[in-house]
Amino acid sequence: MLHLVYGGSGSGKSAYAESLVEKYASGPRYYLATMQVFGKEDEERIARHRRMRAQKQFTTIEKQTDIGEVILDGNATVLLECMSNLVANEMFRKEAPRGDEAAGLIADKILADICRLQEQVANLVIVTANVFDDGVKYSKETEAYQQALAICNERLARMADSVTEVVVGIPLTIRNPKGRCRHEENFKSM
Amino acid sequence: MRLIIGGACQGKTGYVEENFPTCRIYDETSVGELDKTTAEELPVVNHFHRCVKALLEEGRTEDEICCRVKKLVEKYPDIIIISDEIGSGIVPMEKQERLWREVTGRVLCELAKEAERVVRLTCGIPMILK
Repeated sequence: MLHLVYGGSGSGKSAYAESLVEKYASGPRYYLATMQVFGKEDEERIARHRRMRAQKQFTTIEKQTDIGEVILDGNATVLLECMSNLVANEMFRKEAPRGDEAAGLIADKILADICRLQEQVANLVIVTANVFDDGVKYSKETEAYQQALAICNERLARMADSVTEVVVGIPLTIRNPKGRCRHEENFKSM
Repeated sequence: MRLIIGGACQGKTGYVEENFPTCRIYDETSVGELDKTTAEELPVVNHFHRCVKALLEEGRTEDEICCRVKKLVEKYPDIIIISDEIGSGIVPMEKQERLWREVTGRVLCELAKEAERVVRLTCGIPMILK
């Protein structure tokens, strides 16, 4: 199963993603951390997340780029956190594509990596971020980053068994495990 | 306690005014005067996200802010708290701005756990989350 968890900063998306792992995992649990650590603030963030995961039997794998290279066992459940870091890492690495097509090419590369990961394991829970709702006009580079993350989110959402937006710690189903979308359900209830 | 959230200008205050005609609205500049609320009035803290910002600027930690807000809710159990959702953009360059977004988000998660109702406004339309 593939589960996509979406939300803003401090929305409670990590805690919800961990609850999905608790719900679905029957084999070993892996936490695939994509964040690159720059200084004390990041270390504190990692420490906070580690405290949240304590006693949940996760093995942590740190992989900032090329996550398709990770080899895992077939009954594993993987929590991949977070797409926002992964896209930034792939985009701002030396060998990344440049120019107008960059966002699409980077998204293609990341999706191929994720598919390689997903094929190996029983469950994949992916945490991704909403970086789209502040109405600010950013530089070309930042907009390309938003675009690449948006393409990833859209494709992952299409592949996923469930898509959930977390708002103030409350999960909102965008697509449920039966593949029905929220708007279809709303339409039916009208 | 009721928690009303949503993006900027989504109809949060209007929703509260329409549904709670006895409300008396405070914001980050007047939240210290909550005790002026009469028995007939329902206290509302608007722009809660700005209250969090003010407290962070005073040097309060996340735990202290959480604690203070919980005490407020204990004192005014019917209070309505209105907050913008501010965590859904590009991560800011400024450390203080990043902290504000994250702390606001996490304090709202704590409030949502305790709230009897959580409502999110989008384009003026209320969606009951809890």
